[in-house]
Amino acid sequence: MKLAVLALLITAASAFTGVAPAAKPSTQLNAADSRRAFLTSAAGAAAAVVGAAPAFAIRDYEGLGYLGGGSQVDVNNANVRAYLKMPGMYPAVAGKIVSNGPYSSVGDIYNIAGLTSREKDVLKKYESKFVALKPSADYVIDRINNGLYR
Amino acid sequence: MKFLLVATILATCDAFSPVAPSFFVTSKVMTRQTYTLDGIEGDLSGSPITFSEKEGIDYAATTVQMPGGERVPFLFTVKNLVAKGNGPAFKPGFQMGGAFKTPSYRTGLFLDPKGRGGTTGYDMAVALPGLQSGVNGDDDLFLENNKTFDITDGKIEFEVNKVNNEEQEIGGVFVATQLSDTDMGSKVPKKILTKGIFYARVD
Repeated sequence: MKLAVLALLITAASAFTGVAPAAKPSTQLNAADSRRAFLTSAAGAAAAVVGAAPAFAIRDYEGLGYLGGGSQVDVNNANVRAYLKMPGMYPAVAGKIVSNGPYSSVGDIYNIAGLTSREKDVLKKYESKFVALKPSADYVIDRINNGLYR
Repeated sequence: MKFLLVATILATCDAFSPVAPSFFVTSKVMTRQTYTLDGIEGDLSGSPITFSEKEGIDYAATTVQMPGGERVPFLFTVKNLVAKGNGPAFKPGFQMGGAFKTPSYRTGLFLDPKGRGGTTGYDMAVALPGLQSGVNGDDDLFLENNKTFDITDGKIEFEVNKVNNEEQEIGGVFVATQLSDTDMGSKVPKKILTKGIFYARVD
């Protein structure tokens, strides 16, 4: 029953990529197998078929120190309030950084549409404090309001 | 272009049921005032007309109740919509459609009743210390312990019924399908079919 639920979830993951679920991974019940071994082996089979493996949760996010607590701020993932520490940034310039798309490098923030020259000067002043890490969907969605009011 | 969508009929179906994959059941809306998406703005471009949604109140957390009492929460949304039309001008009969992304119903900071969450919280059932070691382990709880931020796809089709040229307004109907809440990866989502009316103003 539980293994059948996992098989459904894996076909759900394959359906997310828009491919009709082709071969369901086999649900041979083997009492000695742990669920995690089933998940990784079935994920391998599913990945071979449709290329979409179910994701594991990230326990230790590497970019955690760049979300506002450290000296450098990740422009792709940090909430807008992380820029409060930099006078001149909040709210206008920080709002522009946060409302615009992923940046492949820190230099990309100068390409935001509608930046005045004064705003570009502010960005230049703090450029050494910015870093552009890989955008992670669960942080990108909370860049404007992450529900933490302090 | 500013958009307003109002869903008048919401129906759910068991997307991954092996018996009846496309059997939709009309459901009752449980959450008031959540069947409207308003203030959606985006860019309109050339021919054929393409609308790219940028911002606005483009999501609404809604819950519907199926016959039998089961409640299905879902994020009614059109985020990241790119709708391509079948012509160069808006006129009655003009159709456009495209795909959008449905982000996770719960965001990372949400904690479930056992304190587990995506970007915060525990990653195990702390109230069950005996399961953290030993032969059985907590593999039974893996789907609930392992929180993933699931972004799924949805599709929407619009048809324009009325055009007001002086005010540059259009109105019509839409049909959309999307998936429901996956509870951060722990349950199989259902497919939601949304039908309704829309209004838009071009400026």
